[in-house]
Amino acid sequence: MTLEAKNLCFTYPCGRSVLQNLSLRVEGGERVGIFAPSGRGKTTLCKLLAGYEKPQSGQVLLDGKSLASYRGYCPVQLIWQHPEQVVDPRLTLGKTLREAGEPEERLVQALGIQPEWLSRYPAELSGGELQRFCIARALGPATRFVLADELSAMLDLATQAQLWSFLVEETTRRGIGLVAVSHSAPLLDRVCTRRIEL
Amino acid sequence: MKRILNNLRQPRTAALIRLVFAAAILLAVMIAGMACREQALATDFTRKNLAPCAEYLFGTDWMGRDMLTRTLSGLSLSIRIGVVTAAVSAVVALAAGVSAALLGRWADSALTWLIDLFMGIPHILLLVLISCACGRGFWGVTIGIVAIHWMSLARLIRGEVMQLRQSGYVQVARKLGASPAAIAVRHILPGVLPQFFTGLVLLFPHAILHEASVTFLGFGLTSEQPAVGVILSESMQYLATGRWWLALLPGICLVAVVLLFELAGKSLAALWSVNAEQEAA
Repeated sequence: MTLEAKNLCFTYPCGRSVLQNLSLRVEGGERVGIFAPSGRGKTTLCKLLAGYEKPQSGQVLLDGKSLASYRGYCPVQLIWQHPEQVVDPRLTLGKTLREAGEPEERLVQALGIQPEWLSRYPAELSGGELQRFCIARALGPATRFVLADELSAMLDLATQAQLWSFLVEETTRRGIGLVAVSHSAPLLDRVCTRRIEL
Repeated sequence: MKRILNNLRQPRTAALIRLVFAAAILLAVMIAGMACREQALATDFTRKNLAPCAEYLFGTDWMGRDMLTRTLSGLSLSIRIGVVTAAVSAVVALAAGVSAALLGRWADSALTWLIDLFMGIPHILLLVLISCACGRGFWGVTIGIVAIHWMSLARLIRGEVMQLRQSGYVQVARKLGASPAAIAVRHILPGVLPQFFTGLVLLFPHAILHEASVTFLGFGLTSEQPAVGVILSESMQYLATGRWWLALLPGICLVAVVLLFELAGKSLAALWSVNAEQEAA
């Protein structure tokens, strides 16, 4: 499959323009790193590519079809920078994990999710622990592209290494395209097959 | 023993105890009042105008009616009206608030306009008008109170749902293919339930006091019913002659009932909230 951005333009409601005529093409199984300093619209680009925001002009295509025309489970899944914002504080993490359908046991184990975490609430776990749930949830069977927006910025080095090597292995095995966003160039060089600067 | 004490210090347990305490007293008053309705209406001119004493704790009035049973059955009626009106107006508020926030811009404008319209009219005036138009009595008062109490809670819930709809986890749920109905049930309704219950129980005191006021003014329950509003308005004529117990004791009981409802509401909200333990700690 191919995820394609064509001439994306995006302006914040306050009038500041962040993306101008941006085009990008990612093939399934490819790992693309997007590198830019803060404030260049990395997160905005991720939200556009995953369909959370609509560009003022240009379009996002998945296999030549507009991403907005896909109903139900979106094949492009975004892993957010702040996991605590995207898990419902009123649900146990077991329920949060099952939002994307019954999770694969293999995924849960590879991400180091402990069985006792499943009955806890998000306030009782750390950011790194929550991020594992978000990664597992984003890797449902119908996922074709994963966007990782600074997914490891607040984690310690050992956890970062563990999560990235898991993601590389999993996306390669399933032929999933990965778009990794970071302001750390060495990290992207290690993880990705090619790198783009915004 | 130590474990029991520790358990009692847990905020959840303490809230549960307060809730059961308040609910038990209110229920007891309601049932006792219904049971002694006959006595509350019985007149006996051999015992009229007695000050509070061992036999008649609340004294008796100018027709020799026992004020304790009259107060109890008045409060019982108030509680029943309060329960019905608060429950109905809270459900109306929940439906209005959720549909304003979820059904799109047109429904939102219409409902916001309706809320503003109802809020713009003085409450007691609207209550008197609706109560009279519906023929006074129990149903007039009930319909009137429901009509003037749903707006502020509806507005609160609408704002809350709007905010939840923008939250990251609702956006993610949409991308994970959850239907709008599933999102409403799983993420949005549980998110507004604490506000709903706090609002519901905070409606009780308002409803009860409005019932008493409209009855006191003579547009609510009829004077043969032993309602607190009736007791208070009748006792006004006798206050000047020094029969203080006719107004004071039923008045204090009315305030106590209102406070009990407030206690129950706050305990319920504390029990519901996921973060109750962290907040209380």
